[in-house]
Amino acid sequence: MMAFDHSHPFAEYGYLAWPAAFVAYAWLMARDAIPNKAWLRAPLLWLLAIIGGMEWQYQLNHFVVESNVWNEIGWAIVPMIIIATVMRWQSSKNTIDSKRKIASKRTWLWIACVPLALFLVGWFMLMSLHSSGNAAPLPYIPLLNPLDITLAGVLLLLLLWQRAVGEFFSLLNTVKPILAAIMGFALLNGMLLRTLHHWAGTPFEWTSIFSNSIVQMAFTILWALTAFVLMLLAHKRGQRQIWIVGAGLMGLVVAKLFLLDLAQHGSVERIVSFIGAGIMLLVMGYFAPLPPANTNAKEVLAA
Amino acid sequence: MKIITSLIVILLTAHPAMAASYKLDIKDNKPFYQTNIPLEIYKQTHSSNLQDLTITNAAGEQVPYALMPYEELHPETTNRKETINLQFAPIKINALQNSNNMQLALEKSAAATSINITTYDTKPGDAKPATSTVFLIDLGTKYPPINELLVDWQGGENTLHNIQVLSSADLKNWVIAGDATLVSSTSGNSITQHHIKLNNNWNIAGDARYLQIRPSDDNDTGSITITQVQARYDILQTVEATALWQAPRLISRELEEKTGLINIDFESFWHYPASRLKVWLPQANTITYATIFVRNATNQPWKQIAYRELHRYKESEPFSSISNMPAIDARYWRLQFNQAQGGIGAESPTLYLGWPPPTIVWNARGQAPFTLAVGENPNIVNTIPISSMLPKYDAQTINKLPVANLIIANQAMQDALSAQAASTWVAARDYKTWLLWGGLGLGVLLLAGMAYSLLKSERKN
Repeated sequence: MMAFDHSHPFAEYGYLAWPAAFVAYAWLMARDAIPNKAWLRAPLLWLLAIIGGMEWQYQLNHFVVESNVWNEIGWAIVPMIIIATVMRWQSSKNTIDSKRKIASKRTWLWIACVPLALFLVGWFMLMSLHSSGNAAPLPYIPLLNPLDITLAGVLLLLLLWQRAVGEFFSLLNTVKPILAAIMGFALLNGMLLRTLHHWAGTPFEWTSIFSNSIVQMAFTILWALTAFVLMLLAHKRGQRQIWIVGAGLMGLVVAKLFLLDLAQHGSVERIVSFIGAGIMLLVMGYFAPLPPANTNAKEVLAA
Repeated sequence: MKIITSLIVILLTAHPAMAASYKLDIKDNKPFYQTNIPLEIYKQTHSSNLQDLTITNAAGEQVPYALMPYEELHPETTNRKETINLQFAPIKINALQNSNNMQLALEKSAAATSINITTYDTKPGDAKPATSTVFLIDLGTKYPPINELLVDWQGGENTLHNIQVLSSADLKNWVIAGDATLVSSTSGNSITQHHIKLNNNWNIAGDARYLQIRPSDDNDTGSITITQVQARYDILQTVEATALWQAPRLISRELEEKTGLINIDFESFWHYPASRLKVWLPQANTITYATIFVRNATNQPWKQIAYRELHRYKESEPFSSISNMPAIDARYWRLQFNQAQGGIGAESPTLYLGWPPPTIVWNARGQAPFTLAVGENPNIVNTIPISSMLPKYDAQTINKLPVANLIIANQAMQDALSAQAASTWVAARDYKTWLLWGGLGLGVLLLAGMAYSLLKSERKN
């Protein structure tokens, strides 16, 4: 506990004590000295995530003092490493299936990783909406900055994890597309707002979507492009649901154009917004019409 | 694996300019200290204005400091007091009061100079003149700006003597130039007051030639006999700044055959803001002219900063100094001699760069020990204006602050540091930025891997 008084777990020989404790616990588990109960084993990963996250905070806080994002991503990177390691470990054991292996998978990949995954979802939304992503001392480059890479990594890892644990909780298969869509859309919007903030000097506030003409124009084009991609994909795959989501998003763009963009004084941005959205609507009508109901995707593709 | 090993080897064998840190030696627990900057600091810094200097307390927190330029704490000139003996002549006061009837004769011999004063009888019916003795001084037409007289006398011990000094340009019109009370006590504690302070504007017109020292009371028959009068005056003297010096390395000497110009190039080791130069001329009885150029990189053009005469008349004074230059921080220095204007012999001169260092005034916030670090590019430099630290500051206040000296490492460490310091002109490798970029690159690779894995599992499904 003295180590925590010094604000990081590895202080006061913590760098020896904590790894030794984890190794000892793992050794005891391997020798079945600890009962094979999930509640006795899963907390090991949670503790590992907390200790690792705290140490990352401390070390990165001292190594990069120019901005906070480098230490903030530690709260996601450590759980990600843990989940990825557990996934790799479990997948390497899948060659011979047995009840024991399934129990191990359930303990480690499902019970132990669910809190970490939920934490990652919460962290993802929080950081997407509230972090400006200032990557100092490096310049901010969309996608090639610590926050965007970590957010994208979280999204991909959660999708991979869902595939691995879908068998334990079937509701995940239903929630996954919705949650992935929300997270992906939040990531895209966050990236755009951060890029505008660092490159065009717009304020990093979500309310600027109502007040800043550049932000409005950029969001109009992004949403229209997203809707177009969704509708095109839906058309190619013959998935009406996705097409309707895309169409809904496009409807939102049109509503935004008339309700928000039209009221702005920046005439150039307003013109670009209207022309951009208009072109998108034209292109969509040509390339991504509504796929027919109950049509097989292959038939659509053949057409 | 080979790549990783190679990278580790490169990192370990690389020789970047490293930061140096020194403990500050403080004796008491005072809020403010002053620290003089030694040459070691300039051997480590990457910024001629010391923008990579930090002072931290025991907790590692930066404490605020101010850099005080040398000129602000050390006056460039000082007053030196000089004393000269004055010739004087005792005469009766009535002689001066009837100066129309007085004749002065100055006789100069090999042994001494004497003044003979002859007075004529006063007219019948005139009031009986006072008979006090006054002492007349002829300063001549050229004399230093006297501001004080020192008087020695005989007689009248243990008595106060009120004395006046009058000045005149023509022995007719006298004005008061100063007064004093002289005293000489021989009993008990010895007290002597023999200074006569002259008024500041006693010779404002600049034509006063004569002084007379006389009792304030005309009827004072004079119980003292002045034996010596000295004049004291101030001479404004330039104070030579205590500069830090470095001798840049001689790197080349070239003769341009067509023009007859000899270019002798030097390379400075450190970021050193030179404001004065010394050139050691190898041969006695040399007089020549040199054009001085500077530049910071070999691909840059030379920039002329001065054209000066250099000389070495005496064997004991081999240096020719150049001062009053603006502070210049340059890596390469060139002395250019023209064969048609004195030239230079076969042996090359040595150049020295001088800089009067600033003083750090710092706030000893927190617990000792305090550490001064220099050389690493800090994110925050806690410099503040001196007026924010000491609102009513002046040079005297700062000079009275306790001094905290740097504890310089032992000679072996110094040698190691000096070896590193030779590369302060070379930009230090920014490992942090490279590591961060490397981390981002790794992140992108992992993202690509995850995306590939996801696509692969989707195809499987």
